[in-house]
Amino acid sequence: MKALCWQGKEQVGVETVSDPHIINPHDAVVRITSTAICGSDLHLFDGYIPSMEQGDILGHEFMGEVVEIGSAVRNLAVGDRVVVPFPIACGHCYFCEHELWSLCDNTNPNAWMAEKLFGYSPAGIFGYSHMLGGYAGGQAQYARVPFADIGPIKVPERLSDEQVLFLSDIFPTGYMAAENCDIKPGDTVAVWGCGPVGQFAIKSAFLLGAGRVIAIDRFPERLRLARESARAETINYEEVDDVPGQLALMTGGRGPDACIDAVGMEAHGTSLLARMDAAKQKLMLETGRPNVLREAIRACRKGGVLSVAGVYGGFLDTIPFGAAFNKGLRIATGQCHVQRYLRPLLDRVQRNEIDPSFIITHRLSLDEAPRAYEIFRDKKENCVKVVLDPWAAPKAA
Amino acid sequence: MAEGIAAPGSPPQSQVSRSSQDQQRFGIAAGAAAAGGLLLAGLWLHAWPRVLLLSAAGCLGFRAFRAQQRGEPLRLWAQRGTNIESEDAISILRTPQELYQSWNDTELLRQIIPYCRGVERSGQRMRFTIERPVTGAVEMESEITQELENRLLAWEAVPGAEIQSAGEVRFEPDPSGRGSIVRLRLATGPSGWLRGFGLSAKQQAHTELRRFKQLMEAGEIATIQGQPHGQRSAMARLERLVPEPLGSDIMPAEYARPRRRGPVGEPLERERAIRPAREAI
Ligand SMILES: NC(=O)c1ccc[n+]([C@@H]2O[C@H](COP(=O)([O-])OP(=O)(O)OC[C@H]3O[C@@H](n4cnc5c(N)ncnc54)[C@H](O)[C@@H]3O)[C@@H](O)[C@H]2O)c1
Ligand SMILES: [Zn+2]
Ligand SMILES: [Zn+2]
Repeated sequence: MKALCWQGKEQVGVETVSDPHIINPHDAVVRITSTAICGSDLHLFDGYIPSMEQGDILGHEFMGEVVEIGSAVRNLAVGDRVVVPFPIACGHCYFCEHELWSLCDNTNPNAWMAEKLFGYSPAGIFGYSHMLGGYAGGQAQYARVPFADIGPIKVPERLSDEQVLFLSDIFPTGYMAAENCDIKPGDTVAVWGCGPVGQFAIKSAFLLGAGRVIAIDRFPERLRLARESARAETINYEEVDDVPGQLALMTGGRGPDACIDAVGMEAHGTSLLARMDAAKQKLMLETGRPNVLREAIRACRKGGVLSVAGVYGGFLDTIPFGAAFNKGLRIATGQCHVQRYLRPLLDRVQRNEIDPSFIITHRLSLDEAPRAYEIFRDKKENCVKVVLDPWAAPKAA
Repeated sequence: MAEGIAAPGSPPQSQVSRSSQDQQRFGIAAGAAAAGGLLLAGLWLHAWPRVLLLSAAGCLGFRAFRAQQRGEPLRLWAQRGTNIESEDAISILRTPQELYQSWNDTELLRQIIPYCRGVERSGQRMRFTIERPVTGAVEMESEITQELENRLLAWEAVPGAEIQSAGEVRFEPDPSGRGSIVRLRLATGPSGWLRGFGLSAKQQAHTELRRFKQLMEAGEIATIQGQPHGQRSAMARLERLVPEPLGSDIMPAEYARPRRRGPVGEPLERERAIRPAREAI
């Protein structure tokens, strides 16, 4: 089959690899019909997540048709059309039973690596480094799905791939980011980052009763999308001196009730601290550029909530933890517990409350994935979200 | 017993140093210098070689520092007769009874012990075949020394066995009232490490417990062995010649255990409904 492989920092390529097959009794093999590139993949592309190896198959947002099932899978049949959540969960450990699916105890074969860094290991994830399982990902024509009786959700034929694909990650991720804010009717929520995760966080904040959402980014097309598709107010951070100051003005000197970081470890910035982060990251002295985290902590109102959906991998410097502590902030973080949201969010799609396909700007073939990574990373061609068809013939150039 | 292995829990034999002070200092200084060299080489290289060299530098540096602090000679590895001993614990959502019974299942033991190819039991004697990639197959014979139903099992290598090891596993009800805590203690002599397991007692105990938990809770041992991948680097291909010591180097393909269904203690057959996430949304 064809699969997109990580070949080194800033280098990915489509290779012909062997087809996946059933290895464990709870496996299934899925023929992938649609797969997407995520902001999280950019952290791999840019080389900021450790324990990647040349030849690793990327991708964790995918759906398709079940073509083979293991001997212990009872609730799926060959031919079922499924969306696959990105965290792999066993369904039977303490964490799965408490619906903390992305923290499953039993699905990371390389748990010892994560334990060295984090103390305890989270769940395995498709295509997301050996430290998080080393599982082959879904930017490919087929994928092996372990614990297939727990994660994948069957989707009705009348919904298109594009309407349900994002249940695999970014829709639930944005939703969880908003849910973590504990929104009371009329609350003001600030969202850093108007990428796909940010866009879903904005929509979800309104779905959960927010009165105002203020979205922050620098790309006009992304800010426009936030205004037009979700009626958010926006701040272009390149046009203001200081984002927390601007937020204070907009909220009458109080600060937003909750702040969502939908940017993560590769935040862009021009302040002195941000430049120092960039230099330290190059020297491998720091593993993230946390200037959004810093701004959000400073901007948040007293007793508010900081909800972090953006991914961080290692160590961060000069986090104003004193501000977080003295303002009594509550902090919620983590990879999304996608399995928890699949059914309810699918229902919302079916009731036409939301059509997640609004963020798609590029529909390409798998062969075009290397170029897609670049335009998505550099936000060229007004790119917001790329969906790949693994079976389409490459477009003649 | 050939190397005087003691059961876990007994104090390690003390090693009295006889080397002169000067020799000692020289050894430590040389060790520290070597660590510095490894550090520089590590910083210069990239990727895995870098990780390897930096870890080696760290280990050596730490040993040299500790030796200096304690006024002992620098030793690169444990001496003959030193017990390498470790204790680890894991929580598993199953009753102590279920866990005790499963631990007595030789097929399950084969699956959770790294590189194990076979386990036989006759009476109180157990025979393990361990087949490591480089050193080849070795047989280990041990005898069960203590058995408390649903609570404890202890074993020790038979006298004169090639590989000295001893161990003990305890099953305790979890104080939360759900599931159990399993404690595993392992001790091996140096030859156990070199010839038998290829893992330290600590890694060995940790790996066995994790696999045991995976089988008992999830019904299988998570693995990525055998999945597709693209072209690997030359370095990675070299590394792959030796199967990962801590990953799942065995494939429990046909052997699925019944998973735990529903709260601990309830019948296994009880239908487990995949929790339909919160209705509240
Ligand atoms: N927690 C989870 O489960 C989960 C799941 C998916 C993605 N993520 C993470 O969410 C983050 C966003 O993902 P995405 O797909 O939307 O990526 P994306 O790259 O499309 O979006 C990031 C956006 O942040 C903006 N940005 C950069 N610096 C900023 C700054 N200083 N202030 C405000 N905005 C800034 C960029 O302009 C961009 O629009 C990533 O870190 C990704 O890894 C987390
Ligand atoms: Zn993602
Ligand atoms: Zn689990």
